[in-house]
Amino acid sequence: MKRNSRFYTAAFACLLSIGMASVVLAEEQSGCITCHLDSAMLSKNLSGAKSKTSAMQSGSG
Amino acid sequence: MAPLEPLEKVLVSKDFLSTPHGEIDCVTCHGGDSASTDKATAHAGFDPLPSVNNPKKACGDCHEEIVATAKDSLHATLSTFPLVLKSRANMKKWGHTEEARKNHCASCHTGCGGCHVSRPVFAQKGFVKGHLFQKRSDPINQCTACHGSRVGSEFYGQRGQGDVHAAKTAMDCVGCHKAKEMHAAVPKDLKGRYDLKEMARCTDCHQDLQYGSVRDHAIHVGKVQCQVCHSQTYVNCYSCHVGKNSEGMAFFQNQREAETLKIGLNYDPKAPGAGYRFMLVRHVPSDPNMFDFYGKDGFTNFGNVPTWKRASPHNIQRRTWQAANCNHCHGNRALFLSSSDLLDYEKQANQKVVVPDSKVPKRIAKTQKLVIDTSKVRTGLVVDAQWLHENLGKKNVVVVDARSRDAYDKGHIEGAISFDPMKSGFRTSGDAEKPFVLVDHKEVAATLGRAGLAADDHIIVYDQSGLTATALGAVLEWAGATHVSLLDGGIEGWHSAGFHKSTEPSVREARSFNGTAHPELVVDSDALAKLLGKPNVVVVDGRAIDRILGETKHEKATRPGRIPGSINLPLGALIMDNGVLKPPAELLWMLKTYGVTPDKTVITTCDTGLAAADTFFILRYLGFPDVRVHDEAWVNWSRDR
Repeated sequence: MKRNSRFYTAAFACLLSIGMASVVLAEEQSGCITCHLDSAMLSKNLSGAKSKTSAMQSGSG
Repeated sequence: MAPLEPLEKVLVSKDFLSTPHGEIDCVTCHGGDSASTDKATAHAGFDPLPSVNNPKKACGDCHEEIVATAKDSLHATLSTFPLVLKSRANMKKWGHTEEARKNHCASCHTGCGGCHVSRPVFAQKGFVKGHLFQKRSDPINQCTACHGSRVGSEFYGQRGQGDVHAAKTAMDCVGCHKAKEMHAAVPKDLKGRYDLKEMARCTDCHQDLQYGSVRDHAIHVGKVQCQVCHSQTYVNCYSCHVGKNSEGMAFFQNQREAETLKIGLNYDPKAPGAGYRFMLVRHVPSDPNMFDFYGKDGFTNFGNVPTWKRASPHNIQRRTWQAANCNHCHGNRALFLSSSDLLDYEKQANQKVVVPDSKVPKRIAKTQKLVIDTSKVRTGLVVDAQWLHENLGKKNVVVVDARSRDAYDKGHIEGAISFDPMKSGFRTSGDAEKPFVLVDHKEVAATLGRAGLAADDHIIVYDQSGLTATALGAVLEWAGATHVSLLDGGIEGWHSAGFHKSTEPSVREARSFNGTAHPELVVDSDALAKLLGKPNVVVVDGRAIDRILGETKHEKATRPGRIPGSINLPLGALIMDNGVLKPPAELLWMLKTYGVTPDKTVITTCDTGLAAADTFFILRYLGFPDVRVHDEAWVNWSRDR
């Protein structure tokens, strides 16, 4: 029973530390990074993005 | 270079966060509001190009010494453009010219980011590797993304054989064009890029050649520019015109491109390292009316600057046709720029460049003879515009326009039928289990029959570039057509020979093709694998060098690479711009330098079978008796092996 209790305490501490770390990481990440690392969010924001080159443009040099 | 998807352009890699640049807050370089989660407010005040707009602030804090000069480099300023434009300009109308320069010419400049983190603005931007910075510029996504049509195509063999520095030693652009040159500040009033003292030169590596063991170096070094002997033909552009389209987007368009090689007199021997007498010259796209969109008569002094300018084609080979024999150059008037090469508006501009008859090196009486057997060339496989004009309408002569239907509708050879092999269903689709392979012979024959073609017709194929027409020629031969010919120079050759184009569509009555299939002309990957390494078999890979180096791959291939033991001979070595073929003797000589000779079984391959079919047709034309197409090509090879 004592061994089990120690195990659960250790596991809880471990999970807590992972959770804390995630919170810290999320706080450190700017809004820029949050969005620009998220392909789903970027895709949604970029829907309808158009080419900025004229179809009449010749090739480069 | 494939365009990037909008998402790819701005998706940051997680790896970036653990790099030195990733530790810097985004707003430090880019501005904007990092606390906002709303797209519009987050990007208020955002600068997508901080190294262009404020290099000192964006890059200079850490890279102070580099930015101090790089901000004034040729890439950043394009500072030679205004000087050249002013030399030609009507200064009373300089306002128009300057407006055009800013809108069009200046769109090519770039800052630190365009070489070290993203594609340049001209190449539509976008991260190369998820915002990871790289010290060495990416030759595909950065350097040739801008320097593409000429430099990139030449270097990697989309035009010509490619460059020996890429093919033999896998050198990239930075191999020659080092940071010292790229970051050099441009002195005030620099005449042109060749006047930059930090500019890369052949002699940076190849030193003291005149004292070496090569006789021709001892004779020619110091008298002719290295490229005169070591370049292949290259593209020349004509008549750039600028404007804005209906959506207000700026563009420039070249009216014509032509692949040639011309030697001119050195008009600027004071440029560093350029004391030679002869040099290669390339036609630049300048035109007196190029800025007319902004105002007429902008270049009343057009004759002040040559339009045939010093060229350094990036298609160097150790052995070239013009240097293969003394008299390929000496006494060869056509190789030297003459007044007849000049357009009316550029006669004065090129007076110092034209080589008068008296200055063309004299033919040499005694030279070693170059023996090339052209007796096996199947001359009937290629016809010229004059022949076609004389034989149009004759019984069994059928002309096939292998361009897109749109191109056909805009003007084609009278009586030609439209048949786009890319939409013919001859090959499986890219999404098929085995993509891009020939379908069953019966299906191909039925399609040809429906188009009104019969195996015993004399079928003349043409297009714009020669590439689809030649591939169609190969398919026709496989399907059993007995007499197929390619129109040399295609529709451009027809038009420039003075023959008119028609917009009246022609259709032929459906018939039975009645061809006997030639399955022996195609090998699959299993058969090819068994032939690899056999002494009399040579596998010719017609792809460009960047594929062979593994820098790029076809989207349907599972990996970059090449078939073991294959010889890379880019298709551009065999067929020039606008579908013009070089003389058979020159092609046979060049093939021999690769060890590709008619006594061998030649198997042609590429990515999807198209370039392999083109190479097949041209080798058959040159008289190679045993040529076969590996139509499964690299796309399938990469999946199966």
